[in-house]
Amino acid sequence: MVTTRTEVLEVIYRFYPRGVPVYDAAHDNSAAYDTSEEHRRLVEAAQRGRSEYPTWEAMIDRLGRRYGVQNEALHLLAGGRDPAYSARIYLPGETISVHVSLLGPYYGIHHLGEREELAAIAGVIEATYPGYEPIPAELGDEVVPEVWVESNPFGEATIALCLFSEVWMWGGVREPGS
Amino acid sequence: MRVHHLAAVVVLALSSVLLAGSCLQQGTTEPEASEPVGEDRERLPVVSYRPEDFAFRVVVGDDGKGKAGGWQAARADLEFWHVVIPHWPRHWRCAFTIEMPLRTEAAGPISSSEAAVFSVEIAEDVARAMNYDLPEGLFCLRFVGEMRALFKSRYEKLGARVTR
Repeated sequence: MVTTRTEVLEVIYRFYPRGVPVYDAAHDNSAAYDTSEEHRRLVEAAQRGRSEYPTWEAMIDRLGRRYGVQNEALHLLAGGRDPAYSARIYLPGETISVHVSLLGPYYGIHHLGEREELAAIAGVIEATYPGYEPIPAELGDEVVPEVWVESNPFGEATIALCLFSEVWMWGGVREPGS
Repeated sequence: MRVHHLAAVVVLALSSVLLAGSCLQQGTTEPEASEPVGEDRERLPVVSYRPEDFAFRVVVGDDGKGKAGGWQAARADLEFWHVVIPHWPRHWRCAFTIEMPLRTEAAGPISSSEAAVFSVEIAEDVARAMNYDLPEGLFCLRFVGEMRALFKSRYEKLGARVTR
């Protein structure tokens, strides 16, 4: 099955209020955003993520036996409103990030170029989360119209940021000396 | 007049408190003939935070597995002043949360005091570069966003999160 832009945007608009800025200039606060139905769904998705955390943790343990891994989902576990589980994996010459969304059956791997470890990592994710589809890089980079996420305002919130959080930007980083 | 005298004392006392306090930006005053103009006359805000402003506590214990683990968080509530002579000083607070691991793959263990020192450094650098003319709510949102960005650019491996 090929994930389409239309289908992903439909999912995203269920969790991020369309046309509502995080900052409401008229009232100098964020009340309209925080009390929206869509944001409430995001908070509930994060809560679901906490209750199903052991599955992610077991997968991270498996990856951690083969690679240097930093689990970035502890922020979610501690009560954060993250839209995904995330981790960084330190590969020779590059830090990649891996994500499993809590908003829909999607996962993402942020990397610079093709490398042999990626297929194995994707295999571990798909074995842990059957039926989840990868978000291709070119789709992840597309801007989501009329959506403001905590880290990025209108015009800057991409599909990857909406589905996987700001931690997406921590992957695809070339390491010095490589 | 007594009232005027009292007002002058209050203003003087308040100015002293503000100058000694934290997070103060003094507004621009009209330059005298000998004063530099343009960017040279911009005054940097007086900013001084303490590690005690960022009381980190463990929220997820380190299970000792792998090369990174554990999670700590500090809820901060920083104070800001904007003084533009001769206007009455404007004062507000920004509450936000900073979180980071107890142990990282790249930097090893991070104690609560080290986490606080990182936070002071980032908060001070961001506070000095802020626009104090912004409305309070927007100021706080931008302050949090700039802290998030500076943590990422300066200490990316740390994996710190800053949220409102």
